[in-house]
Amino acid sequence: MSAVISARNLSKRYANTVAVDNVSFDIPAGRIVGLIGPNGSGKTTALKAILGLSTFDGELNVLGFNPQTQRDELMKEVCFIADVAVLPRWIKVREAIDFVAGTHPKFNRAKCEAYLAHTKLKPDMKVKQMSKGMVVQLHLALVMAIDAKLLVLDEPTLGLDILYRKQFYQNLLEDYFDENKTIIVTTHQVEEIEHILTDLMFIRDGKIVLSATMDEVADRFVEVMVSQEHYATAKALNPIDERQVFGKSVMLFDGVPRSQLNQLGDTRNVGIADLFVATMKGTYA
Amino acid sequence: MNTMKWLVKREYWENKGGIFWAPTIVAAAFTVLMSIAIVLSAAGVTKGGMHINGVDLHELSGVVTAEHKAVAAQGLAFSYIPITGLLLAVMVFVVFFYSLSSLYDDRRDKSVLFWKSMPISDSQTVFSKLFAILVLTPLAPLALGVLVTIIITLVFSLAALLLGVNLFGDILTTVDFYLMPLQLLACLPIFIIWAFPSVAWFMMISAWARRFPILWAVCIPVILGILLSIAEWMTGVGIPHEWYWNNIVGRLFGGFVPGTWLASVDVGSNIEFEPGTHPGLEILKASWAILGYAKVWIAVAIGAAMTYAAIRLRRYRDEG
Repeated sequence: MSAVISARNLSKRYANTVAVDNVSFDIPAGRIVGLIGPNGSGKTTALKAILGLSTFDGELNVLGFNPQTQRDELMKEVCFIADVAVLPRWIKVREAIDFVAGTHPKFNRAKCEAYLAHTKLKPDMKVKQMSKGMVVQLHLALVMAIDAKLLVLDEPTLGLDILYRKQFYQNLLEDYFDENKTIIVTTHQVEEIEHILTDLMFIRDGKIVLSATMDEVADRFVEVMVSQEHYATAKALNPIDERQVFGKSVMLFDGVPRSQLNQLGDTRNVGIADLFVATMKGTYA
Repeated sequence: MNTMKWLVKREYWENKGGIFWAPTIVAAAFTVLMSIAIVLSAAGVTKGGMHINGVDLHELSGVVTAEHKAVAAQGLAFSYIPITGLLLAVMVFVVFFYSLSSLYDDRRDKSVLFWKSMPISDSQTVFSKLFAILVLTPLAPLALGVLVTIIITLVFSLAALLLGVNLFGDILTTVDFYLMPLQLLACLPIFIIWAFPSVAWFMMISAWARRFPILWAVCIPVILGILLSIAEWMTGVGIPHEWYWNNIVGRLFGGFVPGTWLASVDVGSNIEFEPGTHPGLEILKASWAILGYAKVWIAVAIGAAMTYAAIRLRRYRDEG
């Protein structure tokens, strides 16, 4: 399978800072990639380069197009939700549907309307009269009805309550995603998306510090609740993180065989949130 | 082309207030007030048997000659110009603020990211806005100007009829009454050519400014002019500051006002509102005559360059 996105030595410099620092990666088709990083780590900058919204240095190929010079063609195949509540406040539901139907060759009006039928949105409602959650419902309905090869979601559920958030990802997975589509999503609510991701990418200070499939993550990283008598043995295996729970040590290991760890105590797969915290230690120090 | 149609519709949805409602409300208010005034003065005549303000109805109480009636009919036809002018004055403000906000408002509320997620090029976006500002916005004032004039003429003629003066035949045989709307409409291309550089400047600033586009768009040319004038006043080396004020600042803001082109070049016509004259014809002739002046086309070329700059800014401005 050829790569949907392929980046070589991608960099983006602002006046005083390097937002994305000489990064290379490939994203194959049919994946849901979580791009996770602390505030200011370069996530949004990288996505903006991919979407042709900003200039960059290095090589970047998205669906065979150069986002910098071929953005108009690229946007027929790519869709994005950049942030919540970016729909224009004056627009009505009906107008938004008409507009996208009129300008996007891959928009399926029936699909959009079927999705909206499950919401409280009415055709004559204006965006400024909607709650934040309803705006996202409208935006998602528009985007899901577009048969794009690549969907980029940058903090799509920021500020939404948990009901809307759950529904958002559920709809995305059930009604939108298939093997021909690729989704890149950034969010701070990592626990909520970990079960839908197929790939994980951690970004820190403009560099990719971890890039792996979820299966690889499960193989590589193991958390062990170490019993007291094995503490020194465990410590000698260089855990990348250690914390105390009910007087016991919970250690996180990278690349130590599970069979070996099973002898030190109870093992389990690490959650993305814990892995993230362990990886990003000292970011703001 | 279909995309363009939807982009222009989009402009109309967003700016319906300025494009449609503002001239409509002013036209409706004017029609009502004017009709009341006509009816009141007509009633005043019936009671006091004196005279009405306006076009020669002073003569109503006496013997009305055919000549008087023809003059009155022509006066009514002439009122296309002040009435349309009133609505165009409203449009000046609409065009001014529309141009300034055209490429700024959606960046401020971030909805630009939604528009940019659609397969629309930045040149299509900018051209659709230019079209809406220069072509769509003048249509309602022009159409309403004609409609209001016809209504006022009708009200006036009915009032006159009640007083025993029948103006209908004279009005319907006044050629200007039919031609004036066409003559005004035929000036629209001149307005588009004339206003284009000013609108392009405002749109360029609108695409560039991080905040307060109105300050940049207005202050840059004005402060530069003040600096030139001060420099000239202090050094006296002959800096052409007066030329700058007339041809840059004056042209920039005059560009929004229909008809200012008549003052910018001396086309040697005299537009008069006298019996037997045809002011609509004269205005039309003088308006199209400005196309013979190089400075008009130089301004258009500058406007094209600024439009190109606006497209580039729209494309690469980083909305961080």
